[in-house]
Amino acid sequence: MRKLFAPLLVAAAVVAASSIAPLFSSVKADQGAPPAPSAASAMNQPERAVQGTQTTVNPAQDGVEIDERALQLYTHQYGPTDQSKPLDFSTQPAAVPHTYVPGKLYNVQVLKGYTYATLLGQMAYYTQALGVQCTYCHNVSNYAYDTPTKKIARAMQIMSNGVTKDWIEPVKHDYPNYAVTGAVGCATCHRGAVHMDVKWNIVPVQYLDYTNKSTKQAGYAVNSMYSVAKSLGVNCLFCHNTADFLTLQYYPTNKIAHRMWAMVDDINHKYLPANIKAVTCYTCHQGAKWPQVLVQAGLDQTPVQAVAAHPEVHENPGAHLESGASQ
Amino acid sequence: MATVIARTTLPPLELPAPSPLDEGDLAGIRIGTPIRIPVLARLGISTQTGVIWLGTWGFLSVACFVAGVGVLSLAGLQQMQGNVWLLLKYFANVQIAPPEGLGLAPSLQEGGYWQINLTFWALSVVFWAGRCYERLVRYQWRPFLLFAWLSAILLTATIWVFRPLAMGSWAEAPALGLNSDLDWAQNFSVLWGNLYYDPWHMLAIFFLFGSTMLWGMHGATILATAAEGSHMEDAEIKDMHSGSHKSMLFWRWTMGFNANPKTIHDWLLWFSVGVVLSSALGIITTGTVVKNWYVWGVDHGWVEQYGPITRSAINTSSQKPLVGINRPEEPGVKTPQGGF
Amino acid sequence: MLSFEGVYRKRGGTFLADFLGDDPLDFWVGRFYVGLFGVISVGAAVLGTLIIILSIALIGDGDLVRVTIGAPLRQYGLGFAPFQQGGNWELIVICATIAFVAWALREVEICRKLNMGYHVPIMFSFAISAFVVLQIIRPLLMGCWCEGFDIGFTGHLTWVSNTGFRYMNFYLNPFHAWGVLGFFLTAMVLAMHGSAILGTYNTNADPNVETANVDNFWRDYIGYSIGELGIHVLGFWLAIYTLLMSDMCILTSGTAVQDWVDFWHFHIPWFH
Repeated sequence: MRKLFAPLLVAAAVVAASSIAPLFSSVKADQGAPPAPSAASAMNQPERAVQGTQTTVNPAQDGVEIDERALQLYTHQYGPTDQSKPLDFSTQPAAVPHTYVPGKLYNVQVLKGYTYATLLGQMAYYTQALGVQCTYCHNVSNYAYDTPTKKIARAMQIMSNGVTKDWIEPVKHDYPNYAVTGAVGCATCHRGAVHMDVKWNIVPVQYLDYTNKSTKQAGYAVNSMYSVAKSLGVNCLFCHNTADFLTLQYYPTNKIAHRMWAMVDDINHKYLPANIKAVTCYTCHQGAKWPQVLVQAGLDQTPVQAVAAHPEVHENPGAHLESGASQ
Repeated sequence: MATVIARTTLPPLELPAPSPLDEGDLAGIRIGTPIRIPVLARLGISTQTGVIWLGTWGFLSVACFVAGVGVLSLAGLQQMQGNVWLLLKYFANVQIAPPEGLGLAPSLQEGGYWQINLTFWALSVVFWAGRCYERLVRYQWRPFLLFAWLSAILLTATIWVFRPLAMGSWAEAPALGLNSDLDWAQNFSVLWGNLYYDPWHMLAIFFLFGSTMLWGMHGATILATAAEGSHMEDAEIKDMHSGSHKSMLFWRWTMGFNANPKTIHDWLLWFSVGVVLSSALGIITTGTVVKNWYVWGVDHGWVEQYGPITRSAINTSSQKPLVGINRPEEPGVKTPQGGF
Repeated sequence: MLSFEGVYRKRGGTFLADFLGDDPLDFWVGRFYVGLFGVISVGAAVLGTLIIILSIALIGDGDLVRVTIGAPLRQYGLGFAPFQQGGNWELIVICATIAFVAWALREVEICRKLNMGYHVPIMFSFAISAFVVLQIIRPLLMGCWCEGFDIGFTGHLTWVSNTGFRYMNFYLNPFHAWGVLGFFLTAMVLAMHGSAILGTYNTNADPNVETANVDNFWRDYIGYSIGELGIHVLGFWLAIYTLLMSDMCILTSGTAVQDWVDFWHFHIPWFH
């Protein structure tokens, strides 16, 4: 037995060291490798005008020229499900010439007012943000032809414009180096894939209302907080002083969260079908407090500058609670 | 410890003497034969796993308990589409939820199983109390054990029956399930202003930790003096010998106070009963008398105010149905029964 | 003195006596035994209490339930903080630890005098371990004194709440669950033992028959009677188990595991 003592001691030391080693690893970064589409600088084109400049944009009601069939298709599918079947080009709008004329734009319904070069830049951004080729949406023998995916893209572009106009532009004074147009773009959610990561996409925002409920119903809200926290890569103390979750809502992050929920609720109701509430915190944040793609998509403002401008927002207001203080 | 356990022979297997109080019971049988497990002697505990008394009360209690387990299994299987393997794999996450409002559940799956199971289990614990009383009478004990059992039943009845009645909804009670019960404890505290600031909860924790402390003190004291027979407590109460003398003197010299072989058991019993009774008081006053323990604590000066308090956010639980945040009318939106 | 005490109250067998021959501190004050460790313990306790009183006076909050002496901030790491920004906390923890350890050693001396086993100071050491783990060992592992709990009645409760939620759902910490099980089992077994003795003492029967009465009751009632020695063995080990689980539950939080919900998202081969 004594002969085993030394090797056992060494083994125990190794086990102890390896269990303590995680302490000394650096704090996990908020996010993995962020996508950096260089063509995304195309978003920053001052000569582009944004169509549909009302404060509320509802494709079904507000007179924006959008193919009704696009909405129909979007209700029932999220993209072509069978790539092997050839796309049906038998019915096309009358304005589209049968023969493609290079250098001219036809059948542009949402991106109105773009120059040819600017539009091509926008198309390049689409391919990078979604990780697709032109053929995903276009018939390359005649780019002006309508396709199901092109119609979905129109709906998505309207959503992007609407969210930016309704929710980002009102706070743009906080981020002076941002170009507001296109601040919420394709890459914000898609991150280079048509079907993006939906790991924590499990909580419809409506369940976060806890007031005037039984303990069982309100419990759904409490349970849902976990996926909200994981979507941002934080713990409960980022928004809360746990002495009382309900009445101590004075942290800046708490107030921002309320506004964010209103935004998510608005997106789900304006742009998504009635029975699918697919957009949650995770859709844009993807596990980061500050979605990297907003920062690194060729824009000037970085987290360092953002922190300097508003430290109470971008750092963890509950950090001192983790340090052991009670308040 | 070793000095007492070093015996070469184990005591004979025992059965209780016959008694007229055992006779009148329809199910008055003792089940099985006593079995000896010798290895337990090394641990200092009794080696006989004796026969167990059935009795009418016991039979009814076990029958109701088994029926409740059967209902739970049925409900769980139904949730897992009849797949037993899935049920075992996700056992911790399966939950059977209560219905909203008071009164009978609208269907089996929307709270019916919950109500049936809890009815069986409520009967089971009440029958067990009857069994306790009957055995106490048979052995002519003072009924402290019955009092302790009834206190424990009082706490579970407070959580599952009295408080839901006071709040007007069965959904105030926990669902049946492992993770869902843990979630209930967490959600309950979050929704009612953090139960740490509930003074009955503080008292219950004091009794709970105090029970463990007292058990440590009493168990260690007896084991330390067991060589002199202090563990034979009935005899020591009648006539103290050196073991009890040393136990008492140890504590008198250490902390200036000592109990005696009888009164220490008063401390033990009242601390443990204090846990459940304080807890019951804490539960029944939450949401009825006090809607937010933190704000209550701040108002009474117990607790520091850590920031501006939004009093309108205090939970009132007025039983309105689940709706969206900004959309009062939400036709066609599915709400999941049983949570996530 | 109690009637039988004189025969037990003997000098000698203490720690200092091994060094000095005659221990000058080996005496009783009333019913209290003094000894070297009694002096150290009471001295440290008095000093710590004075620091607490001074700190409360400096904080200026008149409500003793609400006032809180906070742990140092993160910026001071494992060093010394200024007195009013956590230095007082550090001193109080040092005094408390010295007082507790000296109390345990005093109990050892008393056990030696009474010629009893050392079970009580061993048990008390486990209780001290809970305090030491929370205030000293875990802050050392985490790299700053700020990780200890604040000293204050309601203040330490807020610390518990915040620390629990910092790891998302502390109920899902398996060591915490086992510790909770230990606490509730302890309470239940305590009630059983207390009611057994209180139910049967001083009846007019022969004490040997009374024991058999207790054994037979438990065998009838639950099928097993652990015995009058065994119940104390059970209580002793249950308390130790509970304290061990408590130590483990807080030692693993923040060091090995940051999120107890995520902890359960591991995959067992073939099972998943």
